[in-house]
Amino acid sequence: MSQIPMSSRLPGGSVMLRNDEELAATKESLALARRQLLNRFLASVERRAYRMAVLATGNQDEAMDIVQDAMLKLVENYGDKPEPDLAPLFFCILQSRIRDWYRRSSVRNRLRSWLGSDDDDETDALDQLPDPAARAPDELLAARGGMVALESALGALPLRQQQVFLLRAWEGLDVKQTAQIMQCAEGSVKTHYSRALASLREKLGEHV
Amino acid sequence: MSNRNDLQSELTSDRDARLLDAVRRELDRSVAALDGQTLSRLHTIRSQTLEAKRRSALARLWLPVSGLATTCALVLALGLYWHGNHGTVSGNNADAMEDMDILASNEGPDFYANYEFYQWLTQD
Repeated sequence: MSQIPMSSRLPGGSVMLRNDEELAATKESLALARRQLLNRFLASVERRAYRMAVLATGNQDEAMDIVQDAMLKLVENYGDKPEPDLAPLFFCILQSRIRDWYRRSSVRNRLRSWLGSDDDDETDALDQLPDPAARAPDELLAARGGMVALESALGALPLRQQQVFLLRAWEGLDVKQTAQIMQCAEGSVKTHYSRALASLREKLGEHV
Repeated sequence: MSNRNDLQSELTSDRDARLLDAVRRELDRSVAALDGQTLSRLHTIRSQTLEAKRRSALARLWLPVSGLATTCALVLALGLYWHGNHGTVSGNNADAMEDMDILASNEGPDFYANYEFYQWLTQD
């Protein structure tokens, strides 16, 4: 009895009040720790995610919006997941947002072509993305900058090849994880990766 | 023939390994070279995201409490309204009518003080 704190010995609901306060404080400190973990995680991936989105869209503002959406979705829906699951989940959301962006762009481009252009090209924008950072070969050679050449070569890849390559080669994800993130078969991941590598080898051989 | 293929494969994989190293290096360099404005925007959206999470957690924490308080207030308000319409106002009206009778009558206050006694007398 003497071990019970003074405030807990008060009659009525005081004991419960004290317990509720402790529970609320514990919950608050757990939530704070979780936010700190999420902050560290997001800080560790945000720059690479942004670069991936820029390479995919060719537009810095769009890329920023995509990264923000991915962050919000991760924190809202998967913020309580174990730390090792966060990276695959985050990149899965990021890829989903990039695909959404392409679908919207594709619709916009079709509308534009119906309204004012004679171009009847029916190719899938998702796979046959026009290179937003395209440069002429002589310009590429003149630039001689590794990053310029790399950006151009990566930007020229079809979207799926580009993103599979970045996830495998840069993020270090394995085939299974990449397939889950890209929502395709593992065989497709291997094909996309090998084609991307071949294309890069061809275009960057002289810069490496 | 097989050895030639193996050698070719090794050379290709070695070249690919160098290519991959170079690509990773360039990409890492590009991330490290992001300008201050971009870094600031990334920091801002991260902070906003986590702040939104904090607010929604707080809202979830207070939602049951505020919901209960709102329900109690509504029940109390409805109760008072109903009681006012069907109970108290009628009772007040009855008391007011009785007071009006007393004030309007010619009897003095003593009569009403001994009202029950006079009632008993009339019964007998």
